[in-house]
Amino acid sequence: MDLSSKIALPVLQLIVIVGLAPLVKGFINKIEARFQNRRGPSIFQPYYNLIKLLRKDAVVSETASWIFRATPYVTFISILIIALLVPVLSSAVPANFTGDVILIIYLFALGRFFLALSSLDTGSAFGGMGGMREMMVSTMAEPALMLSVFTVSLATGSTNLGNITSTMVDQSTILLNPSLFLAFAALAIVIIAEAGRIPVDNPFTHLELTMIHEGMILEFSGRYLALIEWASSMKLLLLLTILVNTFLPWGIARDMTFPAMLISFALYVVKIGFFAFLIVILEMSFAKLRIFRVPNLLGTALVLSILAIISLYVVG
Amino acid sequence: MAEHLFILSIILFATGSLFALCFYGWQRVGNYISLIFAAIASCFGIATAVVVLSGGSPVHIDFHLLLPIIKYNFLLDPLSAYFILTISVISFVACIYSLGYINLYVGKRDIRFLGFIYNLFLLSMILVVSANNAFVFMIVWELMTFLSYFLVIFEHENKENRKAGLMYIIMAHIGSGLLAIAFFIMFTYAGSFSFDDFRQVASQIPAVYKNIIFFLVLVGFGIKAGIFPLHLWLPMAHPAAPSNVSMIMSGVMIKTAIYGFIRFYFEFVTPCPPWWGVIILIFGAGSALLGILYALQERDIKTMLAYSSVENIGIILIGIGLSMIFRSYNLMALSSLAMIAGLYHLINHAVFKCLLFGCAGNIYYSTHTKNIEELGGLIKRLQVTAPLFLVAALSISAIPPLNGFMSEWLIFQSLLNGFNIPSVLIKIETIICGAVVALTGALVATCFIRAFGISFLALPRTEHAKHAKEVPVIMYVSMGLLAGLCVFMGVFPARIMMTVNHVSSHLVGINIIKSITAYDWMQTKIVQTNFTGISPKSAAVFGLMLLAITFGALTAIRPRFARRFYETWTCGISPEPRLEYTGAAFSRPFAVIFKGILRPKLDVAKVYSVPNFFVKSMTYVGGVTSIFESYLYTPVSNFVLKASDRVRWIHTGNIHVYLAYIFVTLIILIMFFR
Amino acid sequence: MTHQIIVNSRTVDILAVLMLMSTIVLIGSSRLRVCIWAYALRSFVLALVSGLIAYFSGIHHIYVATGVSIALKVIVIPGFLFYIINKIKIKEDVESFINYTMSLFIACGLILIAYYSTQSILTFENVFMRHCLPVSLAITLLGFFVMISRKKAITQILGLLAMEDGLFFAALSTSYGMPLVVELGVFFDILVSVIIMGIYVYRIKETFDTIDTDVLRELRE
Repeated sequence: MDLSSKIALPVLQLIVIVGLAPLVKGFINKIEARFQNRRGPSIFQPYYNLIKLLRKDAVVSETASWIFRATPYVTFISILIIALLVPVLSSAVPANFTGDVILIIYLFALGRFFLALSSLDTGSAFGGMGGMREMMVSTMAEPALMLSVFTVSLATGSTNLGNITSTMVDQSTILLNPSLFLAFAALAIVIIAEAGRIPVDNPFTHLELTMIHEGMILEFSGRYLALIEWASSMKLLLLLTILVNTFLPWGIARDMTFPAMLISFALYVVKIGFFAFLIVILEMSFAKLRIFRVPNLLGTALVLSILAIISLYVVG
Repeated sequence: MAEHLFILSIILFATGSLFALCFYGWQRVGNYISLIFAAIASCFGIATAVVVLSGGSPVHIDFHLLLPIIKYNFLLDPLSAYFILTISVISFVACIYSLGYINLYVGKRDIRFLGFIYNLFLLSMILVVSANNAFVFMIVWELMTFLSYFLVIFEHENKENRKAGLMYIIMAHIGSGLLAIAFFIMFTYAGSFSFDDFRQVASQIPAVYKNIIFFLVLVGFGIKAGIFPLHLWLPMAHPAAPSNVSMIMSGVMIKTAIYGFIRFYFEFVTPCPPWWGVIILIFGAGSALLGILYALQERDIKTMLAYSSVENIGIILIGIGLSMIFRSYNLMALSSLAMIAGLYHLINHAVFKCLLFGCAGNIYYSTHTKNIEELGGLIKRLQVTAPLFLVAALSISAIPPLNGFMSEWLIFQSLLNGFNIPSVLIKIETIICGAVVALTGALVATCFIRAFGISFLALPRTEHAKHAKEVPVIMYVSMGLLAGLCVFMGVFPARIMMTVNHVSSHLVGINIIKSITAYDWMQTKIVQTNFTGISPKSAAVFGLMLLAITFGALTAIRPRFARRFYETWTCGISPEPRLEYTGAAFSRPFAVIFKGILRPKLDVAKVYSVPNFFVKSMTYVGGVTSIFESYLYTPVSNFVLKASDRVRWIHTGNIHVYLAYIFVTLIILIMFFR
Repeated sequence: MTHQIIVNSRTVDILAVLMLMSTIVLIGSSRLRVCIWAYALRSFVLALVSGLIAYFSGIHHIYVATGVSIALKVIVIPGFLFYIINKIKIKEDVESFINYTMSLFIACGLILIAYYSTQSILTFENVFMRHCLPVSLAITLLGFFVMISRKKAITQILGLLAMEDGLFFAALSTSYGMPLVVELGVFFDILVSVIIMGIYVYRIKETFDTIDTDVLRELRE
């Protein structure tokens, strides 16, 4: 790739991820409202919310320290770095040789570390509860996430997402492997846990006792809240992107020509929309689990991911 | 050249220790002088290591002092040099830290012995990793144990500390005894005590004796390292010692046991069968998981850090075990990769554990308490210690771009490469191990979020914490050095990898430098394996660029962004410390999830003012049971006590009976050796 | 092997794994209705698999087995089980002797055992539909485990049905089914036993007001 495409691809990718993330949230909200027989907010409502918040001042707790004020930036920047490591429109990752899937998982952990710290920072019990629950859910989700990602890496011979995607596109019979099917199931459960959707966490609740992610961000306001909400919607979009471009990579652009990128973008939007729709159906069909039942669900995901790798090793 | 530096550092350590002893009146000055000598000696140690590691060939040093029977052989090969480097760096920082820390003890107790023993302790560790003779090794090993015992019971008024020291010295001696047996077995095959001869006979030992040596070494060095069933002394001894001693014990002393493992399994009893590596892998994974589960439940910072050391030793052993497995299947390049992962984690852990103990020492210095439930809000009082603790907490949780992340990444890459192993059963074990490492990584993050959050953030919970003052400059400057090292080692991993690769190539026999480094878009060196490449530096550069862009965009949207400060909303009451989340609340759910292992106990006692109706007060006592103590140690110690009771009849107290014993033994010896 | 055969066998493998996943749901879920739906799903997928195998191999009597499967195991038996549950109005929690995490680990271990013990057969090159044998063994073992560890009689029947599914699948994938007479006999055996179990469960509930086998153990003298 020549220099202009080296600069163009990261910029384009960042614009797509940053720009599309609130739309995904808005789309999910709208479809869910329709299912509940309501009109629902416009699908551009999250954008309006973000612009409103960015223009406001912030109220910060007196008890909080510089960690509270640094957290929104840390979370936002770490998600942006992940956005550069994931293949979105093209199977060539913009920041090649910078990182692989393990770096992505630990960058998510970086954001979560600071969010949990800032939830303890304000000295309110709700924050502590949210932080504790978030750590519980993510701790139980991490082994399943690692193992299902490892299954995919072992099947394709690399941990770099760009290489995985290009290998998948080149040799599509890899996809018919039942181990990958198990890995997909495990990864789907983990993504629901990480992104904080029902049945693990309720993103619409206002009751502090039922919140996980919302509990952690209770004290943020103004620009800080905008950055954190944007980061969490980008997190959902990135997790869906990883799922989509790893397991259903058809249509992704192999080179940087304009028509290829356009088709890739259109297919990307369609695939993300389809998975967003599936999330809505899931949210409509299940109730939120009690917090101590969530490790059971994630344990099932862990068993599925262990089986995925074992069947890959034993059967091939 | 290297031997001159080495001898110089030995001399400096020894003379420095004497200085502390000499000054009775000006104890502080005596200690200062001895610590400065020790710091300079550490610099010479670093220089020695650098000389050997940058391409020097192994250097033999032989002394002939005192008794000519004992040959004082020392060897500086890349492995020893790497360990000397680790020990010297940590002891340099610890000595500078101690210059400030001993102010806690000046005037309150006699600190001459502290300086004296401290220097000799550091010296003994350097000698342990460079000894080339089994006799010398055992002498210096025992010396190290004794000296650390005295340091552990330095605050001997406290009964807990004495008990901890007793437990420590008993277990360490059992370990040394087993090691002595292992050395004797090697002696019978090699004919001398020299390690060089041991290396020669490696292939001639029959398999039965090799297995016996394997188990003896596993338990013997395992006790010192703190592997999971044998770790009981660690959480008792490390908190009992003063902080500047704990940082050395936890940072480097337990690593000398890893040195012993590597020497034995890679040089003395090669070639190893695969099941040895599998056992090490299983013990490593078990230590990692159990260590962090217990760490999560602790209230005392130093006990928590001690358990965390158990966890990190587990991870290092996972790397070493994988290396042994790959080696036994002749996959030398992968063995080298796994060994690099293990050794890299070793030096990383030394750095951030020392930093953590140093910050814990700072907290103790300012607030005189180690219980995190009594702290809080320290980030506003200890304004320099807090970021240092944060850096250490981020490093140990393997958060990029710090150094812990690189070694975890390498461990994961080695585990992924397990698919090359021919045996399906071992492949399944590497996968389970991978799940355990992922789980422990997340648990470590939780543990240190809890430690940092409850101690430093929110409101202070007691008066101690409210009036804490920042520690003397020298204490946080030394810790700052370590924090800088954490960041440096995380952002520039390729240089460290080249050094570690030199060590592993010497051990395993293959130099994989070509395949593990490459160049990224900034034309800087990065690390790569057969799966992918990684460059934390470019991630950091991207991060900084994006931060600048974001900040610029946000300022453009609202240039006059202001923050207003107000108290936290707590449903109408004024915020007070009792409303905050406690450490126990943070970690109790994990005890419930893992209740099969942790067996949480709960005691709720109610005091009624009117029986069965009005409760006057309620007490809630929760905790976890230590299953090793109840199922392993207590039966063993009961058995030993009962057995000793049976044998007690030999001691009649009557001198004639004792003379009769000697007489009978003499007759038997005469008849036997006629 | 040709591309088509690879695709065919991989499809059957994926369906086999789907069956395994629904059996894991049987172990992992805590509601009785979900377990019965999982059984219905597994039977449907099994019928699909036998239809596909009949189509690929051209052996026609498997189609009969497919048809009977769909009729009996997808429609009749789950319907009958739902009818029983509605009639006896029990608490719909799945109660087990072993706690959840432990039973999940045991299930994982059983599946590992299934994969590990069939591994030596799978090293031959021209075996296709490679996942079917371990999966069928795993489903059988998991069914047995469910029978051992659950308290309610209905979940024990579900375990028995899982065992039968596993054995049928094993026979189907390795030797293209047993003789038709044997298969029909097994089907009707299963149908009769489920009906008898249903009647008994109803009677027991009427008489003793519980179908918890732990409580029913008190009856022995």
